[in-house]
Amino acid sequence: MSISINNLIFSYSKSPDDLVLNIKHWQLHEQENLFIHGPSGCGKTTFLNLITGMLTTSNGSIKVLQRSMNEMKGSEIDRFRAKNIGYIFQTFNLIPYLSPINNIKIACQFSKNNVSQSSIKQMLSDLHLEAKTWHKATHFLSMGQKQRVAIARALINQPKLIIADEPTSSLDEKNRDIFMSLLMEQTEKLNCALLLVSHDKSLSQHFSRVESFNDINTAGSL
Amino acid sequence: MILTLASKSLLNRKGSVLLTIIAISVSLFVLLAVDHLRQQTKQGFASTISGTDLVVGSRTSSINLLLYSIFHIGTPTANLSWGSYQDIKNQPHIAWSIPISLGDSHKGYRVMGTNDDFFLHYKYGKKHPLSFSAGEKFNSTFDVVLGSEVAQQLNYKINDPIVLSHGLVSTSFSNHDKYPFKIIGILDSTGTPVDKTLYVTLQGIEAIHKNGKEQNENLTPKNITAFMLGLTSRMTTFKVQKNINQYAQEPLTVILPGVALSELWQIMGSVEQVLKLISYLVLLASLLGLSAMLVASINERRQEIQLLRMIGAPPWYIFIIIELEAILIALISSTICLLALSLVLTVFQSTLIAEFGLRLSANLFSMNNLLILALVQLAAIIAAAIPAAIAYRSAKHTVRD
Repeated sequence: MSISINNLIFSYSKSPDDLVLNIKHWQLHEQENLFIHGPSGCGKTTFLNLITGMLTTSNGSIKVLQRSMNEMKGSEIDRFRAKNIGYIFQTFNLIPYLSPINNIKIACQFSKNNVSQSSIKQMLSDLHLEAKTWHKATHFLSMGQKQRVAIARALINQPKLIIADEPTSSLDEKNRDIFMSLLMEQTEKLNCALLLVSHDKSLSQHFSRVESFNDINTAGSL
Repeated sequence: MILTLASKSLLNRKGSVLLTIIAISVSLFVLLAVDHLRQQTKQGFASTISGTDLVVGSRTSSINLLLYSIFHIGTPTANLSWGSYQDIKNQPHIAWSIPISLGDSHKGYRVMGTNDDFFLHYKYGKKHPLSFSAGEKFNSTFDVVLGSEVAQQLNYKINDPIVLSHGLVSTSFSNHDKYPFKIIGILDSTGTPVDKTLYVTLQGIEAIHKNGKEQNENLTPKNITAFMLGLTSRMTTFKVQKNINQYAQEPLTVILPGVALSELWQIMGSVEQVLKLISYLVLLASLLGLSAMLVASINERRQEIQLLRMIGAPPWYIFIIIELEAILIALISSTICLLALSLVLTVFQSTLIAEFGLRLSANLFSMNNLLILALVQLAAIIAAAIPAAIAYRSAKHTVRD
């Protein structure tokens, strides 16, 4: 099992009216591709932050790759996340003033993974990034190029779980399709699980399993 | 990698970082310049006179006597009689004496009446005697010997005639036109007020002030301003000092140059402290600027921090990045400041010597300066602790988007 959540209750404040998440039981299998759709502001990002350990709670159990997130110390979670989870944000995926190669190297640094320069370059060219972009600061890159570098950065440590939060929302249609096909191709190569969250239902076609976030999370639907 | 991250991040914020660097460099420049000036001035003063045991003048304060007789600062209050001078210099334990007669000038440079003993016994720095770069000591009544700077600035050569003015201001209209002096010697540069002084014979001084009378009469001076004394043994200093203080014919002041100088530093001390305080406050202000700049940058960098956290950076990593940025800024500022100060000292050295008689060493790598620079690094680290802590907090606690 990649992710397994039981009886999770989460809120940012103490008031019970402010409940953000209430998830009885939910799972993501190994190597499974799952698309969760839902409108913005419904707690998707909070849900993902709990899975990655950016947020912690003691109300309920969250197991990621058989590890219980609320039993790990902060520094353990950081190392765990670096090694096992590849994350793709909507826009801000790269340190803007560093080159694609350095951005990827930083990710390797935290996972203590010795990845050679040549395999980084191989990965970048697999993602259709031309060599001339490799050493430029990433803020000179187009949005489409940036998101493709983000795939490389998320996958370089060969994580068992890829999480993407609205990764295509800042892309036009053409770039979105290129991004999606590259993402699917790369995750398949790696044999890892993929969890993609977006409001854009048209992404459903790429996935074997599709869920609505409102079906998972019962908070707010009294 | 963390260093790349910090330095590239600074480069990415060139504008605000550059302004901060300039602010710190300027404040550091002020601090080091004031300190350097202070040290060098002290050293300059201390090296002006050496080997002279006592200085004697008419009754006045010891600092005043020291300033006008040796450093040619301010105006002498009163003269002492030639008779008293003869009396004292013939007392026991006295090895040599140098008479000093002040009051005239030439184009703003002071003229000192004396005799050949001055060139023989006056010593500066580490007991360096005076030496001639051209010519020789006095031959006749109307000979003049120039300090190196006087000769250089006014472009004088041996045998040129010059005329002295009465009084100490350069615009004096009362010139001693009738009695031109002839340049007989030019001294080597010493880095002391000697360079800015013209030396004439006591008889010459006497002659030009006897306007209208015959030259061949007795030119023994009636008064002199002060005199320096060298003793046969330092052990007798206090005995001689006591004798002169109790001299019955005329009230006199006698000083030990070193003691008077330290009295002077005591007075200057509070001014020094104020200057020091101001320059440290300016530095503090610029370091607070650094802190403010970093705090502002953290607000712009929340996403960056979140990204680093998501790829596995622990919160202390974020703390270190901010601190590293501050250290880099402080290091760059220190380097710029040292380069600028060396440049200024080198370029303006001749101006400083000409205008103020200040001979500043361009070597800034004194223990004291290095200590100040190390202190600045430490202060920058402390100043960056606030923004670094803010960044740490924002890294530790993910907030709702």
